[in-house]
Amino acid sequence: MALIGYRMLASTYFWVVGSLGRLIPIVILLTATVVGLTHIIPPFWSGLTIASLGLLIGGAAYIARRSDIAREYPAVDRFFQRVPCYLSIQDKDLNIIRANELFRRDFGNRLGEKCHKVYKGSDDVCPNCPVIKTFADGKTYSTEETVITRDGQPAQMIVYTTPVLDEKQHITGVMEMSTNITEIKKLQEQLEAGHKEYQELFERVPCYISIQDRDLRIIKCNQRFEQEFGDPRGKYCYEVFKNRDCICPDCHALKTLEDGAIHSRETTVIRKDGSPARLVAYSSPIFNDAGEIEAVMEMSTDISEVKRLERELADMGRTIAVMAHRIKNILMGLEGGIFVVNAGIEDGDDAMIKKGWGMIERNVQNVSRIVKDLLFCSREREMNFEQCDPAPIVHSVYDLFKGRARKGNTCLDLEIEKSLPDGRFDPEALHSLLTNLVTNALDACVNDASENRDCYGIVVRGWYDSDDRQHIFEVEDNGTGIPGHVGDSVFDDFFSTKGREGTGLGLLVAHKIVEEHGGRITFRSRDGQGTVFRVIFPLHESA
Amino acid sequence: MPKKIMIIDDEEDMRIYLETVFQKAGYATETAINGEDALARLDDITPDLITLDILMPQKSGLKFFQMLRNGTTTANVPVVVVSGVSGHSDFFDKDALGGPTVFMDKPIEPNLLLARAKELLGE
Repeated sequence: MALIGYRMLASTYFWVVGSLGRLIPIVILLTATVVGLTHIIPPFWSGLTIASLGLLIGGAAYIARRSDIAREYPAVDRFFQRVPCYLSIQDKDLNIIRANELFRRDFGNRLGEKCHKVYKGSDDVCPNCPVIKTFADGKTYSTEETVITRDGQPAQMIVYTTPVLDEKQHITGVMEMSTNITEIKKLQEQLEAGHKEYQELFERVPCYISIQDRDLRIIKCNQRFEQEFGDPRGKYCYEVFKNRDCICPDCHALKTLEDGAIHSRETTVIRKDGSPARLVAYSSPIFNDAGEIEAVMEMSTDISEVKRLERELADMGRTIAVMAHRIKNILMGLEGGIFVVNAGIEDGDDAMIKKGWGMIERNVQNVSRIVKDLLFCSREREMNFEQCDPAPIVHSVYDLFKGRARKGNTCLDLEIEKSLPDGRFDPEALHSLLTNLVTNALDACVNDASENRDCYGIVVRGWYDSDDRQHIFEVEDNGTGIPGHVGDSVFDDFFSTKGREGTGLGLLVAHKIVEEHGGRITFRSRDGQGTVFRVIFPLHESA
Repeated sequence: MPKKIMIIDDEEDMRIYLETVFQKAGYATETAINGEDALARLDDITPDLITLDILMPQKSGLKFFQMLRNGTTTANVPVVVVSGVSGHSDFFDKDALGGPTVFMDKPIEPNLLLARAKELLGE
């Protein structure tokens, strides 16, 4: 387009020159030069500049053709000499036959030498030489070239060529005008690199960035945003983030649009795959040239992981507090046991010694259980899987709790299939899992404060589901039940009904053991009615 | 006649321990496994002092305490409230404790327990 513009202007110019005589073109030429040169620097590729350069080359070529102008109008020759770019005229053999002052200053007085020798120190003609092209068809060409100045420094040039015609319109030479654009190139490269860097930063920054218009319609976003929320362009932010059809209450972006201040808030959004994410979002205004807020930039960071860690830390804090309480109780039991044993020894009372010793034994067992639970929780204990029949493990848990249940006025029943296929179990872990579930069930019965329950019961069940090829175990009680609001958090958080013997980590341990076996644990419960925990282990035939 | 201490705790070990401490010091003891059990026994006996655990199944220590203080014959029985839960005294309205009441955290040192008991018994 620029070249077409140039050609049109050049044609017009030559028409004007032909029509208006000698002086008018010189005035136009000087005016065009001033206009052109003032535009050369920043947007040198703009149409106006190209046109100006065209006028300049055209004017210079005219002067070169009309040497009488130079003789009759020394001012015009001075212009040729002092124009602030490299001007040279070359013959058909590419010898430089005329050059201006700047050319001579930076490349030396090299009249008669080949232009490729002068510009590049080369004996070979440059590929795609624009001078040769202009000689061939009389057209104007432009190209970018790297040349070597007389001080040995490389310089980036933009080169224009135009034919020099005699009275019969024969090409007698080619005028070459070059402008050093090394600095501009450098600036352009820096600008491009800077732009690329900012673009890269915008795209890759580990947060979601979107630009929203005054209606909260997303007009731009970064790659990360698109990865998580899909292509949001043209959609409203509340639509993309929350599947809503109206603005969210307490919208921070709207506040920013209203007062121009930065606002932030924590919010839960839905990713494109439907999963929720907790974000902390900041909004800041984008102003137009008139200083008005025309858009808002929203930057959000996913803090789901931080929140999860926060919860875990809080759980850990709670667990530690409860563990401290349990340990304190055990310590009390041990100290009490020692006190009772000592009292028995002092009084020679064997029965008392036996009582005290029983206290010590029970509390040592409690310490052992706490340590085991903690090891399961912290995954310090590796699973030791083996192909085995789970039935004896279930029986041993039943035997362990039979007496205790009776003491707590609770009826413990066992319903297990006579023959279960072998499965891939860690026997000790399975024992620990069932122990925890029965302990919880027993606590739920003993701790029940309802006064109209006739009897408490726990049933331990075990069977094999041959259709789905899985072992299933259940522990059902008719105790206190788990309040509805607790939900699945029983498996995440420390959960206790103040079991007399529990460590408070029971369900957490159970969950981890089931997970490590590749199984799953579920429960159904009615507050005040009782609970059923079900554990399902898919059959793994090979160890 | 030795003074009678009623020990109310759902943990057997704690009952045995406190029983031994008080018996060794010459007191008679009576044990109850929870608040409900204790209330039933109060129909027949009036203890000179009660040690009471807070967190218990059936009837919690707090509920039992309120009933004790509302009873005509038991309102002024001294109580040592024992618990492993830190800050358990916060559960109680300090302005409405009624009769003499002290709070002790587990683990309980026997001599300290006896000293507090003697204070409450005016010995």
